[in-house]
Amino acid sequence: MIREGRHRRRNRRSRGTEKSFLYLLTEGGPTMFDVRLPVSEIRFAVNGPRMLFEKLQLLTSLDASDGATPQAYRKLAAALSGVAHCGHRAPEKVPITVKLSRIGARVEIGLGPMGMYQSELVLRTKSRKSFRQVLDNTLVRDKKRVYRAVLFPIAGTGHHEVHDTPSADDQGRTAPKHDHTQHGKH
Amino acid sequence: MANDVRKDAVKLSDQERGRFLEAFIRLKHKPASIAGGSASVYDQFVALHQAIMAVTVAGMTGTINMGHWNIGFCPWHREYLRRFELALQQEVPGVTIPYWDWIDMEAANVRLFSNSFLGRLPGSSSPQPITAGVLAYNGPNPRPAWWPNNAAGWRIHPALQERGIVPSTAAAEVRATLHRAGDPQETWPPAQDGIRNLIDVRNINSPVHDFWYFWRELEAGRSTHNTGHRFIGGHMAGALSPNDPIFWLHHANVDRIWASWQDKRGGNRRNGYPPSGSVSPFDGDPAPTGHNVEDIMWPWVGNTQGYGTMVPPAIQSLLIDYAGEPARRVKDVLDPGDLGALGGYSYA
Repeated sequence: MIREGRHRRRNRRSRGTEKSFLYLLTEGGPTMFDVRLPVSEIRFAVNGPRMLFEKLQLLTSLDASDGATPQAYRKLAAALSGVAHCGHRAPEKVPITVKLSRIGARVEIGLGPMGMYQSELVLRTKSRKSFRQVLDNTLVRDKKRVYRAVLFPIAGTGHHEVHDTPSADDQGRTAPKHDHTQHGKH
Repeated sequence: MANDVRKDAVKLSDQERGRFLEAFIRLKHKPASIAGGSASVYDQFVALHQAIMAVTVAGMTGTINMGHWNIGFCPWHREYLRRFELALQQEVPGVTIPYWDWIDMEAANVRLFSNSFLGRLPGSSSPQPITAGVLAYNGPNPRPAWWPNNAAGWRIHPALQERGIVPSTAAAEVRATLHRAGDPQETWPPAQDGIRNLIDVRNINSPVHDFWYFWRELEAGRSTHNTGHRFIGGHMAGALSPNDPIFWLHHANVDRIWASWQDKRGGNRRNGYPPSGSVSPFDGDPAPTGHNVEDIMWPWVGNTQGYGTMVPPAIQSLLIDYAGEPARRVKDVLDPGDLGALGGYSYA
């Protein structure tokens, strides 16, 4: 029942691609979203942004020796833009950052304002080239290299319905915080 | 038992529309029977929608969202809407909640989202104030014949004002004004085929009850309940979404789709809901307390002790006290035509 995604024709003048792709993030849904696509725009309908889903992380099958170095990931992050449409407030740019650790670099994409319903994250390549082209140009030296690049949603933690709701009172009184993992799902 | 009929909002006569709006405005201005408050009965229903998200049960760790993100989404909102509908009927007898048929946005934009009904959609990506019609801060100008003498305009109670829609430094009048966006995105409106497929959701030859899949698509599919909240935007996109009266019409359509699914599935409606203790195909756990067919639904727990909510005191102080009424269980609301003491209804 979960749609893999769908292409959408765009009206504006094309520079590299005429299509967009849509994914749905929901409970029990796919946990891996192919981004090496021939489109310059990928949309994510995100249920429970920062409640159910905290952020997206880019995973690839590339090694640093293939060209996927921290510098390359930074170049990739700089080549992308993301805007969250939550309806609750004006569209917000989301952070696209590179997280470094001793095991390597990861590109992380924020999901915008917290919400209990659904927001739409619009990811675009700044050059309007396709995601496939941008990934190939930034992460691999050998253009014939076969690889996978997917976005993986990180689960949200905490129980923000209680202590971070927009209507928490003016005195800042909120219910005690607790860990979502203490009591499973809600 | 099904005495009341819920109709398509765009097909209401002028008289039906006027009676419905009158009931809304009266309820919004009907003082709540709580100590020292300036809240209305309508505001109490709004407060409940947030309180349901953080229910505590004695002996359990943490809180439960008893109305969302699991199968109890459908029955809890059915009970909630029916009680709201009965409250409307105390103001204007015979009124029912019309439904907003999502797939016909062309008609909705003309007949429903108009200044003579529930206000326009700004068509903006940012929330904008509703400045005309019955939902404007100062109400409609000129006043319709049915407008109650004591009614001002549509003003959001201070304890129920969502943060983030307007700056906290905005004037009190701005903070109390209903906001919407109506951002035309790719995911709205849903296609007719999409809703038809939803009503046809089955999980034949699988041990997993098909309601699990139906519920998930209905609440959080690509172009269904959650998407509709975001599409309207502003107050509708937050936890206090009933501040926007379109909430009730939106959820009447959610309920209508569930009733259609129940009808199409056939058989005993009780069998159309997973048996208690059945395991979610999504996270491998049984449904939380309040979501199982035999469970009591808070706040309609009767004299059962041990239930509460962890929302801020300002919200808690607004809640309707249902103590003394019979407890309501999920199984009590599986047939909209026979809700026991709450009567029944059907959809036209």
